[in-house]
Amino acid sequence: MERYYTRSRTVASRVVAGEAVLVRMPDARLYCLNGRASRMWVRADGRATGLALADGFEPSVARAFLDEMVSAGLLERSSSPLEVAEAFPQNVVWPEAPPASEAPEIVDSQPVDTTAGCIPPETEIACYGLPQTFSV
Amino acid sequence: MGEPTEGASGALDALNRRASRARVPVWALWELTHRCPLACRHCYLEGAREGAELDARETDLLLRELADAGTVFLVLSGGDPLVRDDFLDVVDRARELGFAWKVLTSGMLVDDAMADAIAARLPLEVSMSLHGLRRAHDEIASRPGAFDAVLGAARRLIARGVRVLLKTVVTPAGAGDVAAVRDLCDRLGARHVVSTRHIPGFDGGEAQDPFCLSDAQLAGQLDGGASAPVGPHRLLRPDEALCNAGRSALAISPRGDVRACLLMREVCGNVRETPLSEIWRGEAMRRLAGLVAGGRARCASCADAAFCSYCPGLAEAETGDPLVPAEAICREARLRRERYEARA
Repeated sequence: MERYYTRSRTVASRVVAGEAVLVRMPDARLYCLNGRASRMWVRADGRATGLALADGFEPSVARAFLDEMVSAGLLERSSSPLEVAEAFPQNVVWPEAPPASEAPEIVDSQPVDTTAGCIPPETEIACYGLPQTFSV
Repeated sequence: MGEPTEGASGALDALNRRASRARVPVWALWELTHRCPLACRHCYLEGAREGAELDARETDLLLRELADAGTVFLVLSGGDPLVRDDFLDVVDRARELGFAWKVLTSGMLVDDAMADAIAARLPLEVSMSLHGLRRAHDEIASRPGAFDAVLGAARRLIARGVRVLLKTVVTPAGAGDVAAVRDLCDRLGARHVVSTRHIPGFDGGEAQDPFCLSDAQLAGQLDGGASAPVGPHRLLRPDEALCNAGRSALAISPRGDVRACLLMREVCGNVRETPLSEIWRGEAMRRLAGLVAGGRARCASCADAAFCSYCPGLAEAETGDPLVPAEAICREARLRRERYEARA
């Protein structure tokens, strides 16, 4: 039976430099996807089947990734398509396609601590004085 | 899936680095309004350029522009954004457009109905200021009952599963309360952060002086009141960026002025006149994004450099030049070094 996949409405997301960033809002957890997974995420509009999302990639691997996304509460799976596709809320400009061998993957995941928005990476002293700019 | 990572060196840092390299404004702080039920005596908005707030149409357009620009984290600030009649409409639109949002509020308007409405819209966090215990907070906020309002708001939100952050900007009046406020936050189930820096007002900053801490007070509050002094840190390379302002972060005023960060006073453009994408790619923003550690001539031979958490925004707000250090930054670095050397 065909299954259809939709991005969960409790997940905030963007594509940043070709890779999707997902924030699961109920528990403020950040997920980063690789290039192939990002393309699958953006196309999961409620009318796309698992096979269509796999887009020619090994179906069993794609299915395992989709299962993981559903388990994490990032994607919703349904036996019927949405009447109207849910457009991705960003005009995405994709860089070059990922390598043919790249399997879809969640590459990293972490609780969001938004205190650190302005802090330059890799410095060891935090910017304690920031006026809630991106802290908060 | 790769092993999930916890802590500062994980996904969020990687995102910040990627966004800074690609110059994507993943962080946007938007002051929806400068109106506020409180009149905090150290508020830096005194003298800020005022004008008509962005209306519903402009707000919608700006949210779309931010979404297309790649903004992930949308911080709604003020003033108090909750005074806007359309605050929840803005949040609803932001959620439709896929933003992870949070709000900074005075807490004065968070009754049960508003707490329900906020909780239903799944914020990352709600942040409120708590300047000290009741007497200090109400005095600084110029509003009797403000302390109780913040606590009530925090309790209502936490009871509904909303993460709450209470921030204490330490003043001489509230310095003695910080430990008690921290305990209070623990009991409430709120996160607590302490800030020791006061932002110069838009009107010139002299009004901030009465709120500056003495050296002894400041030394006791540095680094979140850490009992162990923080040691020297890695020095930034001369070609290394000073912060993410203009690289992966921007700030927007109620009237649509776009700046590299909330503290920087230089306006890079206005969304009523210029598309956000053009402002972001424009010369002024790119210049601020290009500020590097080596540009700070006065810092080159500073003995306190390894203890300094430099902030170009604060520097610009105080000295007019993001590369000329603010006295407040230098004082913190000196005190941090002295504290470290005394323990060592």
